[in-house]
Amino acid sequence: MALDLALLHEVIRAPEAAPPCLRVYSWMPPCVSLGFHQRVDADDVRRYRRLGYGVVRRPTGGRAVLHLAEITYSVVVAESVFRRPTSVIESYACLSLGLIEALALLGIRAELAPGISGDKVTGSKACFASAARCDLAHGGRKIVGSAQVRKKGAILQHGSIPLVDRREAEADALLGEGAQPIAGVVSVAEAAGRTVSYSEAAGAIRAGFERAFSLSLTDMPLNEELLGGCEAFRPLVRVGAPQGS
Amino acid sequence: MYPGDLKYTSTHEWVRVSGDTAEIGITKYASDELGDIVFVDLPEVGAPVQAGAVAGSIESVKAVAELTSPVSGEIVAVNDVLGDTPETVNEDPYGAGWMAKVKMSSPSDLDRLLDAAAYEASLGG
Repeated sequence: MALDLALLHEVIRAPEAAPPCLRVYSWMPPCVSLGFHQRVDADDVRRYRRLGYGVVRRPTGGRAVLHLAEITYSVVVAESVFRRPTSVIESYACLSLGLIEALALLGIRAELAPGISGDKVTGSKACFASAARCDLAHGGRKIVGSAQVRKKGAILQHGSIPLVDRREAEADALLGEGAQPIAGVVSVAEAAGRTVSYSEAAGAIRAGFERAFSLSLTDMPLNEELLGGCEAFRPLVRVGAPQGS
Repeated sequence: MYPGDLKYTSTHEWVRVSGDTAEIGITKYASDELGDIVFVDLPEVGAPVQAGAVAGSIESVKAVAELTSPVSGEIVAVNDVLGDTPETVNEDPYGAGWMAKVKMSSPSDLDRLLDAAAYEASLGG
């Protein structure tokens, strides 16, 4: 997450020099990411840690996401890469083309969610409890949850794609032990009708963006400069341990 | 389309000047683009702000965006209503959805702002 911020700030610092960047990653250990403004409930954080999960705060909005048995993607671009001033929903629609293509490569048809639960926030603490018009759906159920942050002409969009059904673990973690599994969500495995490994999904995301935007992506090594920048942002994504934990 | 008595920034804030105080908020264009606003993070009363610098943040169901101060000075009031009803920004961006009031330290900051016609033109409208 800190690396996503570091990449965003590279684009802010040098929008002409820093190319658009696509990143896919997983979490070890599994982790709960909280939305930028989401209030930290000490009892919730204790539960996350008791379950063995890390906790971070995203620079993007929305609600808690459990990064378990999923693949996380992030895209960092300068707003100037779009041919004209681009609205928030337009940029989601554009960047989502890569994800739609990626899912198609896995045999999954997806589309921008029409706002399945409206664009109003439900009372739930969990991101996947509702779909906004920036998310992707398959058969009316949310398959990709995404969020953006915009700073000084740069856009970071990142999101989570569940690879298998982990709704019970998600509900236990995010809503409390024994909570009802979150409805309206579908995993890649269920949508594709088969198991899709992390590596296959990662390859599909890369190929999907290349195909959607007719480009060839170049691997970018995590050099010392970038990793050093990443360290500088760690304090911004860290969620402190609650008192008494 | 955009109130003629206000000044605007290229980052979609508006300013209503009253004496040496600037009332600020975000435009309807910005609030429409962000969608339903769910959280507004405002500066503390008494905090200094600089023209063009980040003063707070706004979160909607779609994105987090920065609130940039159009003027330099000191925050003298913030709209506490937005803590409980952030959607007020969407409902009445130029009235009840105001965000903060700044006692200006450099009124010449206003000279760099756009009038309604120039702001609308910048949107391609």
